[in-house]
Amino acid sequence: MSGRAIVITSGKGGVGKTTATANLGVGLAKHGCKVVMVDGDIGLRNLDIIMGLENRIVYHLVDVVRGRCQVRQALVKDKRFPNLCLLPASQVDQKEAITPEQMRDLTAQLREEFDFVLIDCPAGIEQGFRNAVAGADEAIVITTPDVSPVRDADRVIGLLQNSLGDPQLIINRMSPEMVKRGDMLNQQDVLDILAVRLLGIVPEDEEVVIAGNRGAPVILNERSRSGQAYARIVRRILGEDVPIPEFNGNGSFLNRLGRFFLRR
Amino acid sequence: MIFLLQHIVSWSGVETPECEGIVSGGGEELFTIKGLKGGPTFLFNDKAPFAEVIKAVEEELARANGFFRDSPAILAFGSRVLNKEEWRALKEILHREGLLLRYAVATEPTSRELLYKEGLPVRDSLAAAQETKKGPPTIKGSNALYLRRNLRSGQKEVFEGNVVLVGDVNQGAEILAGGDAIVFGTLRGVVHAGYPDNREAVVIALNLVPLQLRIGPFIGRADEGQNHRRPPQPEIARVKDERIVIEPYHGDYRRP
Ligand SMILES: Nc1ncnc2c1ncn2[C@@H]1O[C@H](COP(=O)(O)OP(=O)(O)OP(=O)(O)O)[C@@H](O)[C@H]1O
Ligand SMILES: [Mg+2]
Repeated sequence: MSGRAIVITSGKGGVGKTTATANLGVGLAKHGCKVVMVDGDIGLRNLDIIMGLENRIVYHLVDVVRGRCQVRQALVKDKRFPNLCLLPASQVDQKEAITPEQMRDLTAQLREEFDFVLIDCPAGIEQGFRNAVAGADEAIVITTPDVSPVRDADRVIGLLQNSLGDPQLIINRMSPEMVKRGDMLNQQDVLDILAVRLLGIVPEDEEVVIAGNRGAPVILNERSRSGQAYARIVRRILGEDVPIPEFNGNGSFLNRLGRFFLRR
Repeated sequence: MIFLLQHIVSWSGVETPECEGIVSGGGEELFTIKGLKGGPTFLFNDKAPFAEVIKAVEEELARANGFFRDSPAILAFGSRVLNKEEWRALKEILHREGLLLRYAVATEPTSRELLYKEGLPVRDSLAAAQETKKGPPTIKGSNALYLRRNLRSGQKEVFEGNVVLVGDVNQGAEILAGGDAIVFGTLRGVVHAGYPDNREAVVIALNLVPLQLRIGPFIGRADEGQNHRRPPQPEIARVKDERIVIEPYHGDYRRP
């Protein structure tokens, strides 16, 4: 049996890739899946902090690829779920320390043992992105409902389509109030532009920040709205048909951009 | 209403009556590209220092980003005295950009001999095919590039004829067409129809909401101040009275 390797990517930085990786990892583990989260952000590792596992790291991804240790030795077991592991990034190396081929081999190896290999991609579309994407067979693109992250997501989707086909989309940090006022792109605006399948919408929620600082992903907090949103996304990944609440507000923000020229 | 209109450098003034291929340097332009039937024709100012001309050509071709690749080009040198180094430098750039050199037009005897020895056919004047003005209302090149997909940010399609795209053109994506650009979808990105100087070209889209639009030598920009809300409807953009005008498209392609 071979597991699913999913890369979580965005183009734009800081839109919530690492947060999503952690929450999906925990959520899938809660459902009993064997999950490994790979921190692909070499040089800027974060996933260990959000998971609250930084003090348990001995080896890291670059060590594994360089043959300085076995994969098994580098995997950090989660405190809460024995079926959840983290393969941390190196904080001292550069993105160029590994190649797409090496990532492909590593992912293939992990996929033998785990049901899910979640790869947290660095921002950008350079070497780090190419590495993270190399071993994956599915992609989840994260964006916030803002003009420039959406454009970067669009760029990334275009790049992914050559190798992985259509990715699925998570819209993060949706603010119902701003959408209602027409100050933010709404769900339909984003989907009109990106034209890919929507996997879910995570609301703007300070609980996410608090959870990240505590090292306990928000999905563990079953009363939080963002935690519930992630729980629904996890069920969708597992193939359940869970409806997506609408965030459409009134009127399109986009139609207010770019009205122009001489129109008769 | 703000409306910006400007000429792209070096392509203005192309509507001059034919001059038998000899451009005598009026001083302003270093060179001009005319879209003639036989292929793009480079009319080099024969008075300007050739180093400057070469530099301008190089910059322009870089900007055109592969547009002229595999086009059969004609080079009109006028009465310039061309030396071998100058020719080699120019040829290098044109080759690098993938132009296929058809023939040269030159009147000065040593230049003619040089070009001939370098393997390029030389003529006295541009052939009779000065068809830019009263041709059919469309387009250089009669064929179209047909695409059925979305053009996403960072993707670019370049074609010397017409482009028909069934899908959306997103912001950050680009179409560069020698002729018309027809988008069966939402047009948000940059489209340059009639590149470089075909002002007869049109842009039609089911939902025409670009931030910038170019037709031939004209550029129109979105009016940033306006805040319309309206349902999408098919629209056509074309050049009227020296500027780009957008109107609802009711299936009437004829120019008013
Ligand atoms: N739904 C949310 N509501 C509020 N804050 C959020 C939400 N999702 C993420 N954040 C916050 O946004 C910040 C960036 O998140 P995160 O580190 O996951 O982004 P990233 O895409 O991995 O960034 P990078 O590109 O730097 O790797 C964090 O402080 C996180 O707590
Ligand atoms: Mg991150």
